[in-house]
Amino acid sequence: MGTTELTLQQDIEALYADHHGWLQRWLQRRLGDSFLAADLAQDTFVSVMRANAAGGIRVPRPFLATVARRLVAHHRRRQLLETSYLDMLAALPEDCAPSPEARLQALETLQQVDRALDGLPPRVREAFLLAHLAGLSYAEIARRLGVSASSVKQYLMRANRQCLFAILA
Amino acid sequence: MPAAASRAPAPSSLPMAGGLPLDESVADQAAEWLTVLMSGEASDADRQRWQRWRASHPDHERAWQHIEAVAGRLKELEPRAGYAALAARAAPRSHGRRKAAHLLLWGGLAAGGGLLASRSPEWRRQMADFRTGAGERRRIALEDGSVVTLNTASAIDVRIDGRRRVVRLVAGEVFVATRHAQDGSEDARPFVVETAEGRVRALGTRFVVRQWDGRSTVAVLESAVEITPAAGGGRRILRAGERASFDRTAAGPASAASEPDSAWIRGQIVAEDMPLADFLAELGRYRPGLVRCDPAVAGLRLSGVFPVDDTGRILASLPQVLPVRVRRRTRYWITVEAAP
Repeated sequence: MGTTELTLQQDIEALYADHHGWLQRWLQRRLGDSFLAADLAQDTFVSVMRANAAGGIRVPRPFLATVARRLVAHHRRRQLLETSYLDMLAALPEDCAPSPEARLQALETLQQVDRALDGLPPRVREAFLLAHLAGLSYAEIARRLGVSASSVKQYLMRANRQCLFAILA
Repeated sequence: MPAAASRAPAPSSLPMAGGLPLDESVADQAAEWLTVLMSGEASDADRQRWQRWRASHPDHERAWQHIEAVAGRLKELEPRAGYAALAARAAPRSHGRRKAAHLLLWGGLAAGGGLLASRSPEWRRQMADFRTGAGERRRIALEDGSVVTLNTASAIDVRIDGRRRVVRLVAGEVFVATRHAQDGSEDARPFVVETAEGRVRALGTRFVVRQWDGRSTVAVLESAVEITPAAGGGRRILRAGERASFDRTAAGPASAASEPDSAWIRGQIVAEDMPLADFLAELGRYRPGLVRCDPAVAGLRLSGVFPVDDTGRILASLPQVLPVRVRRRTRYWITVEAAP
């Protein structure tokens, strides 16, 4: 282990010792769930460690809070996504409902697609979903989005490119 | 879970195929081919070029295999639920036109401001105090003695306090019979139904309110109601036997309320010389699935009283009364088109 790595290791340990308790309490107040707070506090330190950022931090608590806030947002987003999906599934009649295994698999796919589409403009995202999930023709997508057919092609080119190669097959 | 949360966002990462990084330009070409082939406009010559492209380099074939595998994964998603979840993700930033697009999609289910179409995001519907799924009807006795009935794919929040009684229609359609309408008793607290477009105040009454996309309709069965558009347009009193539509700025003129406005309370759709497209949109509200109408037959008209408790049977009977056929793409994806 080189000197630099050793320093990083010490930095993260110091950071953890000084602020972990505070961070967990801070998250607990925001989330009202101590298990989730403990998980996300842990994730925050893992995230800081991965970014090798522990050493350069001047004001640790605002920095940790920023990272933690992002993780809380991720968590909520994932939760909302899953709830929406399962809620909609529940509205389907029994015989259309997939098996529990298929459902888990689908949730994993859902997360990946959501992450892969992240950052695309709303219409590009919508065009992708209409084409791949609703199976609509480009002409219909164009009509629904109020854009030209050639715009739809461009949207799909971009969405296909970004999304499909970010999903693990 | 930690790994997922801290993983770098996908857009900045390298394209991957079959677990290995892929050249950016190959990924571009593969995405372009997919876009061409999915368009349904690819010619035989296009397909031959595509095959040649695949064969011309192992990376091309690897990229294409990857696309097919991912397409397979997308098929694992129940399409309507997947669409609802993923499209809702962008909803808070979306505006009128996209919402309108939402509404048209999935036909009838959306027409009532149902699961996908509520002006409020999906989670608002989920969080509602009372809600119904597709095909469901539900009668709810409120604590003040009034009774409300929710139609299919509908949701309400209820707030009753010392000063007012408010039913917030989050999605769909509701029939209200105030306590006064039932036993004549007085309650000094105003009874109000709020929609995205404004407020409907009961003046001792029975009435139906429906949330559409961008507008609401009211039909009064007994006594009267007062409509106040949210943006402060003029108020309008509506009396028994009248119906009116309103948006945020104004209430439209009153017209005669008809049988179809309230038939659903008895579990029926009443069609009076109704265009097939409208009928299917209406029918679709009662089914957990997509019912699409081929534009070629959209203008055909039909009349009748249809019990909504068996929408499958209604669909199956259509070819007997109209020159159409009913094609099932999946159990929950049905297209009505011209008979061959």
